[in-house]
Amino acid sequence: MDEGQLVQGLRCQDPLAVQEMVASHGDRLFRSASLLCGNQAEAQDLVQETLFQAVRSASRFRGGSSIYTWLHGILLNLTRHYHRDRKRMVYDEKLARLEPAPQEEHPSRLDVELTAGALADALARLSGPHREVLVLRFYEDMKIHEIAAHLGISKGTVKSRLHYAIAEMQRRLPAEMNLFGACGTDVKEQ
Amino acid sequence: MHLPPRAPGSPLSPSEGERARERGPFARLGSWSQWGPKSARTLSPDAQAAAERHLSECPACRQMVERERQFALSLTDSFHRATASLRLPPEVQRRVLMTLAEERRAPEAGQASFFSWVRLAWPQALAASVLLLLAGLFFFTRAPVPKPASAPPRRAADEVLVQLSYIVPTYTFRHEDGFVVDALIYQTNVVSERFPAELARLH
Repeated sequence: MDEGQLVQGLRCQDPLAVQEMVASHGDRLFRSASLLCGNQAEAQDLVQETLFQAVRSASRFRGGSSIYTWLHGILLNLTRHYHRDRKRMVYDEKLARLEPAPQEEHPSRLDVELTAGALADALARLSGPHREVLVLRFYEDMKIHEIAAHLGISKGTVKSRLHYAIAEMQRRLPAEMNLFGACGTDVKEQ
Repeated sequence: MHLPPRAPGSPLSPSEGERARERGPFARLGSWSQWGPKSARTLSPDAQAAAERHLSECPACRQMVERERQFALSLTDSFHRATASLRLPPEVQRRVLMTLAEERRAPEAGQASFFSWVRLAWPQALAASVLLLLAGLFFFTRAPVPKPASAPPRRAADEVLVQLSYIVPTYTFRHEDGFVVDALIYQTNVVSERFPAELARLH
């Protein structure tokens, strides 16, 4: 099923088209949502809502972009609402005390779990707009002008947000993750 | 320009801060280098030439750019490694399909109830129309009720002006130098009223 047929099927709410959409883009959307909101349960809900809204608004899709880009645009909007709603949540100290304390992890562990945890932690400390550009650039592999078009901002703004986000990530990610390549964080004179 | 290694998260020392300020203008250009050759074309040719010229002359900036490039590559790799095991649970698809099916059923049910209401509404509307018609016939066909003759306007000669006056005594008390002083005041009130002459004659 090509993209045209898929969109046509979605407009008719054809279950086969929905299955095709989930099979083609579900995992990627879920991964992107996990990076954007930092919570897999919330990411699952966000992707589910994205798929719903995609089917409902398929008649308005004009084919100006790929289906994935269109889906990702819906996901981004929903993620922004999610972050806005989270800001409105009242912090309950009693509930916070009931939450289990985060498990201490050995700093020398370099397995995927630690990398994912540290990465999620560093991402969570970024503001929404900075997280968005970072994920779009380095996970979705979008170019500057694509990010600018996707977010409706200027290329200069994308660059400045990226620069700040990268600097923050460099500052926050643990050195043990060896994210800086074979030479680590050392800068050697050439 | 030499950039000493710094552990991530550690604060900048004063000398590092100065160096960071020195390379501030270049930092923006430096960030360009990691976007890759295609998107780097978004820089103006002059700015790109200036950046490349500077990079060829300054090993510290070259290293900084290389470090950012390496970090960017590592970040991409880390994002993919961190999320590679994530799969969208199958129940999401099931829930989407179920909800869409429910939504499809709901409008049909709504339509059915609308048509059944329309079916029932016809006899009710007909009965209401007949009732309205009968009521209209009843009100418009009955004989008009004669209006009671209006009373002739009263003339001024048929009236008598009665003026009453009465006196109202008012007793007051006040304190003066520790004594209670009382006073009785008489006030005359006058009331004027017009009465029909026959009523006045009765009295």
